[in-house]
Amino acid sequence: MSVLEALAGILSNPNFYFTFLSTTVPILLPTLGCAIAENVGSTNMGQEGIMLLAAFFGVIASAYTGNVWVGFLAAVAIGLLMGLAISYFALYLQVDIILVGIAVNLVGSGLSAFLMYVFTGDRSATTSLQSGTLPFIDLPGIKEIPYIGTALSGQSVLAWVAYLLVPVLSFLLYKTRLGLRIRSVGENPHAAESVGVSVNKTKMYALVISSVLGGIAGAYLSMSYLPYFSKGMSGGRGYIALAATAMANNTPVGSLWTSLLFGFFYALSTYSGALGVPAQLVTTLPYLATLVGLVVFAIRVQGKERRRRQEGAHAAAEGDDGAARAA
Amino acid sequence: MSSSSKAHVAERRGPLEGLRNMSVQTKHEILRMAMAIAIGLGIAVVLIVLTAENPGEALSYFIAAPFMQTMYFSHMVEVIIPLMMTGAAVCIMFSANQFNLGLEGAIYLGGFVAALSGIYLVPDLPVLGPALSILLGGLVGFFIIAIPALLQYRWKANIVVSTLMMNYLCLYVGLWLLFDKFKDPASSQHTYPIGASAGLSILVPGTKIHSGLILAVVIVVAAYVLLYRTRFGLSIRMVGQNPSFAKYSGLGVSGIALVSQLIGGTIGGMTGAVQMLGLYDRFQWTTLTGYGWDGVTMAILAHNNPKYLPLAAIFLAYFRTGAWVMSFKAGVQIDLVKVFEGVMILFIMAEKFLSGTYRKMVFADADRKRKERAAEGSVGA
Amino acid sequence: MEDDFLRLEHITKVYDNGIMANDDVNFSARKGEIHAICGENGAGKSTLMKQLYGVEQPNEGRIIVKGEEVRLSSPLVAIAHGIGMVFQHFMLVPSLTVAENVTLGIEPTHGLRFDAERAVAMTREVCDKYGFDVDPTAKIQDLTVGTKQKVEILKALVRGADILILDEPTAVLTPQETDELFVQLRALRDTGHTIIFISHKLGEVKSLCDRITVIRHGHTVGTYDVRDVSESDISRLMVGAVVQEEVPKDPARPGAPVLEVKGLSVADQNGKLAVHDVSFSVREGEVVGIAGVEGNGQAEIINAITGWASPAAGTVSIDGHEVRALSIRGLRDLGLAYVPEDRMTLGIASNLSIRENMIAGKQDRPRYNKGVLQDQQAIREDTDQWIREFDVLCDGGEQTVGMLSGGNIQKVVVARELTAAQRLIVCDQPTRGIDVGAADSIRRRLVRMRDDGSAILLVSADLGELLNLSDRLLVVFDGRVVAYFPSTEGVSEEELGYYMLGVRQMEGQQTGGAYLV
Repeated sequence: MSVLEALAGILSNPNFYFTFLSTTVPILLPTLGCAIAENVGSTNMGQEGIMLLAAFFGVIASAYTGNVWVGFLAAVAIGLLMGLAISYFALYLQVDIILVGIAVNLVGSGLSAFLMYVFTGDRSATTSLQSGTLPFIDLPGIKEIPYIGTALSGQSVLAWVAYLLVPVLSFLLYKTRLGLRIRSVGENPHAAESVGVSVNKTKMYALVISSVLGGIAGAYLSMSYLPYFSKGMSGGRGYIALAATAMANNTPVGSLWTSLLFGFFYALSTYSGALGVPAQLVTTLPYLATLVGLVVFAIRVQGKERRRRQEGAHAAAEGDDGAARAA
Repeated sequence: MSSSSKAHVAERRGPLEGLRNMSVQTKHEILRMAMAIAIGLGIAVVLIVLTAENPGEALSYFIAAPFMQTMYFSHMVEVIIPLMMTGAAVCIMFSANQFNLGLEGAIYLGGFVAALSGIYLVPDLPVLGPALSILLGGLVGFFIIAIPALLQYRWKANIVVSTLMMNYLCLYVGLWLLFDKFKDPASSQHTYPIGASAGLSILVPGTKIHSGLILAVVIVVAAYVLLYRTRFGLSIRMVGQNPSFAKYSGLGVSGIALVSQLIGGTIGGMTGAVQMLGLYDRFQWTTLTGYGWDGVTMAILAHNNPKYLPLAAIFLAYFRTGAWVMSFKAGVQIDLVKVFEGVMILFIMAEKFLSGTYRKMVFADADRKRKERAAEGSVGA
Repeated sequence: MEDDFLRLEHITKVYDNGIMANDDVNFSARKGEIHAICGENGAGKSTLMKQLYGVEQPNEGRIIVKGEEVRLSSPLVAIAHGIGMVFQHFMLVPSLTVAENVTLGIEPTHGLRFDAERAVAMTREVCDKYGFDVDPTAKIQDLTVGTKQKVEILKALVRGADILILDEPTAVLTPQETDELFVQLRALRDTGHTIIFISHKLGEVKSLCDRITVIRHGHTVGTYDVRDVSESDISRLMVGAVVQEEVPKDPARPGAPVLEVKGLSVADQNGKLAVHDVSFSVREGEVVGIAGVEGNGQAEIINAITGWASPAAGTVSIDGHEVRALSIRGLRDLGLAYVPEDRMTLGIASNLSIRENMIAGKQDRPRYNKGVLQDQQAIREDTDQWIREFDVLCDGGEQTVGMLSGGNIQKVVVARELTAAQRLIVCDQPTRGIDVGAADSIRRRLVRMRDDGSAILLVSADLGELLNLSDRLLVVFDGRVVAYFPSTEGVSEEELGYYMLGVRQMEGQQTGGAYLV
């Protein structure tokens, strides 16, 4: 059986689409977060650490209170706190934002693993805790529709939240006052400052929103995608988010498409047995795609700049001719 | 009176006078570094005290483990080796202000290729064999870093994102090679054993300290000489400090940035090889090693100057060893050390941390100099 | 009293680095007038306006707006008092629309939403009221420079500003756009707005403004009714002689041409042509000076000579080698030294040591290398000598350059360049910000290098320096050579001022004489 036939087999399997949509969620959320941060002119590289801390504290809060929603709120609160911490170090103490991200990731992965052992005595995963999962939503009526029903019904409530956040964040970014300020600060902070818009405050709002999205992603990882926290479970998704944002030109809708691209290959790699291609090679595809995407994006930006320069020079030369004739 | 002769006078007056004449900037850097370390250590100690069953015992391991047993000391030296090497690699790249985070991938595949070389190519060739394997590892690192570096050179593709992607690309390609091509069928996840003579020799009998230490020292010295004692090093630092100035001075800015990354990548690949051949008898890495990120921490601690790498490496390795011993002696997870390192990075790199103190120091210094000048004037008169 | 509308009394401003930018300046403007502020570069105009817009605060003096003494602690406070400012560099967000830019900071909202319709309506209302022809829904990035400037004015008007400061607004405009701007400014004046117009272009000041205040070296020279003063009068008031010790020098003995600039036109960053058909040459053993008010094309001419910009038309060559075809390294190998005007961006790496900054660009010389290593001793010897020779005040060569004062940083730059190459030396403001003694020694050194056969091109805002050092002198205005003096003998600063400010202009064949072979 050729690879193509196997691929067709996988693509005609309704369960694949369910996996596809759920693997996309923990990429989409941090990607949206990075997109917001990029819009204000800051690179939030700390999503790995935020996701890990949120996933961990979510599980702990859920297990100790017996209420998974408390766990969710704890994860969101962690996102909020991390957003404030990142803002404090990056904006007030003026640490390079990339280094803040690296430090946050160190602290996040270290603290979550350290405290996991303290709280549970486990070294790799909190399987001994009864932390539960957030509700999965069955869609009666729709459930029976082939493909669509299988793919949509039974997804976690946070999956719905994640996909709904795409229009919500688009609205925030393009239709609200805060969004206008975020984009202004990102594009020309001096312009914003000169009319009394506080650059630091706006950046802080954006970084907090960004980090809260990372917190929700953490909650999804440990309370939906898997029913427990495991060491390093973010698995580099925070870094993928940076790439996905860059390829999406920092728009929420674009982030959805690039996240789906990564999610697709992730899902495909779980089906690689049927594909007859080594799973690891399938997993390399999104990273390869990113490299190519980055280059395409960079070439486009360069081309645009060159055209603008040429037009400028052209206009200037013409203007001079005109002036010479007039004189 | 010429100012330079003033500096010479200061040298003659002895170390204490030297300290007094140290620039305010340097003094402040030292103060800030000390405060950052204190905050990081403080947080670690608090966490230990709060969580350990027997805090006193745990703390004693954390603070003094390397001096408790030869094995612990040996472990510390083992940890120092990759720290120094990746530290040197990142110092060179960061000196050119290139935020290349791709060492992880270079280390992973560098280690893999060195292992393969030790298994299939030179399993029985002592000394030269490992040397060749390490060179091959370096070559792999060179080519891996060349990809994102060239994408940046040619198209200005974002180096942070592309190197992060390269890391995962390297990992999965490596895993595929491991599981699909080179796995020992009798094992779950490792290769055939590396040849008996292909590994690095033990340097100190009775310990696991291997000859990679020599290479690490050589590389750190070479990195220092390159950056601070050669014209190319000056070019690298000019590009890193102010690219416009470098261009104005006639340098090819993007070319120098490219070369600095290629050197870093080569050292990265060699690091992977040294680790593999020094500590393992089969290739068995199934995740990225983290040594690349360590390099970033090292460069930050050393202020991008390889001169300070040995000190920084001993410092980090010392507490990592403590945490490692704590983890099996006192039930405190080794990951604590990451928290400590992350917090330190934040405060060391905080431009505005203690800036109020800095201003006060500057004023006090200016005041002192004015008084000195006045005194000199009156003596002269 | 009507002058109470806006009054600045006894304003004194000393910057942290000790430079006194304003020394007891008095200024007042009436309601409904266009008031020009004129002065040379560095006379203190910008500093004065920054204090009026709340960006800087005066050390001494009072600011009275509409009869009330105010403390303008930030631009927001200034805006609240009805003061608006249009900067030379636009403060606009390119990807947003006109309406969004105009209302940024005072956005109308409707519930959670940014009320785009209201923003457009607000913008349109102001446009209609003052006759601005701007589409509120257009994106800034698609607009012409002239329209962008209108948006800047709209930003101030929509906030209710009745005092508008315009900092050299016509520098970026075409003549047609300038005419249009003037129509609008007059209309604003007629509706009771006060406009403060900062400009060097005396023709514009004469045609547009009602009154004029001249500032020189941080002092107010006086306020005049524009009808009462001619352009020559204004020019004379602006350009005042500074007493300065002359560097003695013998007549030049020029040799073969080194730098040849022929028919050169250069575009600025915005793509606007900033240099038009400029020709001149610099020969061995002579100093050629370029005088002109900043922003009249000197920067672009220098960029074309030093390899930072390629000409839109014409050629530049050094010893017969065309500059366009060479890298900066190639130019330096031909013997080009360049003291840049912007020393912090181009001239130094502030975190590197004085030695490293002095050796930069020379690091490949055999003298400084022993095999693969640098020859530390040779480097130390030479840099120590330069530190002494150029009198750099420091704690030793290992000190980082960023720790030095501005003047000493300039000495480091000059020391490096004047010891780098001897063939062609391009100096842009070589003595700006340096103490008198050091400036004098740099000037002497330039003369000595001239006598040793170097070709020197000197651009300076210091007219005394230009007249003293130059063997031949050009004056540029609006990107063109408007005057050429084959000898500076008997040329006065006042006369230069007439040409620099566009009051007078020589014939083409006279200025053509600057190109000598």
